[in-house]
Amino acid sequence: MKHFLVYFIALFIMGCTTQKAENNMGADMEELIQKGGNILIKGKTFESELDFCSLLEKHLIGNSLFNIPVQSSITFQNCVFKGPVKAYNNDDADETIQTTFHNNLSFLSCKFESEVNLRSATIYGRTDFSGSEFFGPVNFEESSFYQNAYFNKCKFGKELRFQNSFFHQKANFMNAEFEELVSFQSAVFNGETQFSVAKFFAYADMTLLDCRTSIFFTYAEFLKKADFGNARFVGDANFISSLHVNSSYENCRFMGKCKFFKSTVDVLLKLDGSFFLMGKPELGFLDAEKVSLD
Amino acid sequence: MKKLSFILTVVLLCSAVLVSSGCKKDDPILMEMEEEEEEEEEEEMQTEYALGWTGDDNLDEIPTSTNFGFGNGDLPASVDLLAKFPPIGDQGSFGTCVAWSVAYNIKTALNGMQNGTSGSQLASPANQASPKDLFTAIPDDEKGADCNGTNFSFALDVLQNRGVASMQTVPYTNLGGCSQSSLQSSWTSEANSNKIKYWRKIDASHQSIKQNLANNVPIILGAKLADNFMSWNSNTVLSSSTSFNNVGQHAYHALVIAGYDDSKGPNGAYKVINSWGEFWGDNGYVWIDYDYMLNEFCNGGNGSQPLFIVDNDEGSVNPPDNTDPVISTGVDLAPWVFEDYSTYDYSGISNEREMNFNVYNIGNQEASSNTGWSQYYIYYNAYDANDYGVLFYDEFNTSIDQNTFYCDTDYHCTVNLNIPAGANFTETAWGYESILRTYYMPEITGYYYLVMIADADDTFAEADELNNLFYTTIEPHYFDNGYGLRPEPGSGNSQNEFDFKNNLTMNQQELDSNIFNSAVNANRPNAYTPEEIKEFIKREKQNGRLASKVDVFAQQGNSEPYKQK
Repeated sequence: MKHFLVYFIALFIMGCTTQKAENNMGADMEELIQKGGNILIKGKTFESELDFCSLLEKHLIGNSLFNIPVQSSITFQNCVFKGPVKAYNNDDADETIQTTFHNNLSFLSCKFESEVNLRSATIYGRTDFSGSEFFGPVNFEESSFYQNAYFNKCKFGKELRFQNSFFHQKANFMNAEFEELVSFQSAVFNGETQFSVAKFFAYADMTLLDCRTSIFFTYAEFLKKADFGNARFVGDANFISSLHVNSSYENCRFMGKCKFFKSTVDVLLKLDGSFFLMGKPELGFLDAEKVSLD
Repeated sequence: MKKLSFILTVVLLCSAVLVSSGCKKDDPILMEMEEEEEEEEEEEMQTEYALGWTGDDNLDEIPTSTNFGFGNGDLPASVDLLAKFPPIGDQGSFGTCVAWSVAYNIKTALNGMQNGTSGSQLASPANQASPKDLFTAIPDDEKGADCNGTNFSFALDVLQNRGVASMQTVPYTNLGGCSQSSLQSSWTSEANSNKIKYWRKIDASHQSIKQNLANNVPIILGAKLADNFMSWNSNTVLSSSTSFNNVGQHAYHALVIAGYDDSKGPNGAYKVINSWGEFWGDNGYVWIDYDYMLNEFCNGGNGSQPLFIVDNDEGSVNPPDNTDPVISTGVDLAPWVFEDYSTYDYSGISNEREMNFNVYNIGNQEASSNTGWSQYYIYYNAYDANDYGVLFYDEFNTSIDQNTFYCDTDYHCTVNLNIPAGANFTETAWGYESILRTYYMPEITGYYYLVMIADADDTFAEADELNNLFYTTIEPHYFDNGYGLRPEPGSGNSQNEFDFKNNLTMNQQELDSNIFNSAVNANRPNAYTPEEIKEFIKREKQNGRLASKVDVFAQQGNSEPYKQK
C-alpha cells in the first residue's frame, strides 16, 4: 500500500510536469528538448535562432560526423521565427553535425523570416510544414522523411534545396508556391507524391528524380524552366492540365503511364531520348513546333 | 641468495609493468591520447579514399594571379576548351590524380595550344605529358607510399623545376611504388625540356574563373568529393553533395575546369575533366553548378579554395594586350638604386625613408620627354601583387618648360628633360651622380617587395625590357604597419630592418647583369616574374586603377597620421 502511494504520487508529479511541458511557451523550451519532453507552442514569435545542434550533446557516429538525437515530439503552430532554424552545422570543416528527430516535427502555418537548414536531418515521425511561409533560403538536402511529409500550401520565397532527399512514404507539396530556384535533384519519392496545383515561378531542377510510385503534377505550373532530365518514374507520371513554359524531360524512364492531357506549352516541351514502357504520351493536342520527342 | 634476489627483481618488475598497464587503462588522459591515436589512424586510413590530392596546400604562400584585370569586356556566355585536351585519362586505383590534372591534362593542353597541336595529335602519347613521370619525380617524403597522394604545390614545383617527360617515354603502366628512385635518367633528360614557367593561384570567383577560361587558360581545381560524386553517371548538372559515409570527410581530388556555360542548369555550370576513365560521369566529364562549385565543391579544407593556372612559357598565358604604343626604339632605360634607408633616427618619423637612385639610358637613342614616359617606385605583396601601391612617381613630359622640373608633392614630380643615349637622368638634370628622394611607407603589414620601374608605361620598345626594374628587396621583406624594423611574427628576430645598401659599383656591366632586375631566384622560383609585374603595372595604368592607387596615396600623404611619429 505504501509503495502504491509513492508510485501514485510520482505519477501525479510526472503528469503535472508533462502537462506543463506541452503548454510551454519557450522560456524553458530548450530545457524540455534536452530532457526529451514534448513541445507544443502556439502563436509565439521567436526573436533569436533555434539551433538544435546547440541544444543537445552531439554524438560521434562516423568519421568527423556527429549526430544530435532529438527525442521530443515537436509542434509549433502559427509561430514566427525571426532568426535561423537549424539542425545542421558544418562551420568547422572537419566536423559535420546532423540531427535525428525520433518523433514528429511539425511547423504548422509558421513563418520563417530567416534561413531554415535541416540538411541531412532524419525524421522518424510525421513531418508537417503545411501552410508555412519561408522568407529565407531553405535546405533539406539529403534529409530522410520516414513517415508522411507535408509541405502543402507552403510558400518558399528563396532558394529551396531538396537534393538527395528521401521520402519513404507520401510526400505532399500540393498548392505549394516556389518563388525562386527549387532543386529536387536525385530526390527519391518512395510513396505517392503530390505536386498538384503547385506553382514554380523560377527554375525547377527535377533532374535525376526517382519516383517509385505515382507522382502528380496535375494543374501544376512551371512558369520558367523545368528540367526533369534523367528522371525515373516507376509509377504513373501525371502532368494533366499542367502548364509548361520551357520544360525538359530528356533521357527519362517512364515505367508507368505518362499523361500530359490538357497541358499547355508556351515555348517547348522536350522529351528526347526518353523511354516509355507503357507507350508514348498523347501530345497531339499540342502545337507540334512546341514538342520535341525523338 | 642471488637466486632469491633475481626472483624478487623479476616479481617487482612484473608488478611494475602490471601496475603501469593498469594505470594506463584507468588514466583518462591516456585514454584520450589513445583515442587521438586511433583518430589519427582513422585519418590515415581515410587518405586511402583521398583519390590523390592530400588537400593541404598552403595557399597563403602561392602567388595570386595578376591577370584579373585582363579582358574585362563582356565574357562569352559559354566557353569550351575540351578540344584542346587529350582524351579522358584513367588513373586506375592509384592516388595520382594531381599528376593527371597537372601533367596529363594541363601541361598537355598548354603545349598543344602553344604548338597548335590538333585533336588527333593530342591523342598521341608523344604529345601527352606523363602523370607517372611527374608523380615519380616528386620526392618520396612529399607523397604517400605506393603512389598514394600528394599536393599541388609539390607537383607544380617539380613541373616548374624539372619538367615532365612524355607519355610515350613514360607510359602509365607498371607504376610500382612510384618511388623517386625508380626515375630513369632518360625520363629526366626529356623532362628538362618540358617545363612550365610559373604557376599561380586564382581568385575563387566566377569572374576570375571565366576570364581565364575565356582567354584559353584552363584551371586546375582541388575539390572535396562526396559519395554521390563517386557514382555520378549523367550529363545533368551536379549541384549538391551527399554524405561522406563512403568516401570519408577527407576525399580530396584534383580535377581540371575546361569550360563553362551560363545556360546549363539553373545557375550555369562549369565543365570539369576527371581522370576516372570515360565510363564515369558524362563520358568522363561532369558539369558542376556555378554556386555549388564555389560554395562547396571547390574545397581544400580550412576554407581554402584551390584554383591554379599555369604559364607554360612566356606569353602563353593571358597574352599581353596588343596596345604597345611604340614611339621610339633604341632607348634602353635602367634604374639603379644606391641605397634605401629609414630616416627615423633623425626625423623621428617611423615610416619616413630616403632612397638614392638614378636612371640610365644605356641605349643608342635619346629618351625624349615628348614621349610622355614615367618611372614609379612601388611596393607589392609577395603573394598577391594585386595588393600594391605607389611610393613615388615621376612623369617625363612637355607640360612644363624644357629642362625644368616641378614637384607638386613629395611623391610626384614632372620633368621635361631629354636623356641622351649613354647619359643618365640626374647628371643630365643637375650634374649629380644620383638623386635623394624622401618617401613614406604606407601602413602595410606582410611580406612585400619594393621595386623601381623605369618606363612603367612601356612607352619605349627597348632592347632589354627587364632592366626597367630594380628590386631593392630581392627577397620579400616583412613590414609591420609600414615599418620594416619590427620582428617577424614568432621569429624573435628584432633585426629585420629594411635597409638596402647597394655594394656594387654602378657600371654598364652591372646594369646589364640584371641581378637586381628580378625577384625570381633559386629560393623563390615561383615568385612574380619581372615581365608579369611590368605587364601588370602597364595594365593597371591603362585601366585607371594605378591612378586610383595614387589618389589613395595622395590622401594618405596629406593626412597627419600618415607620417607616423
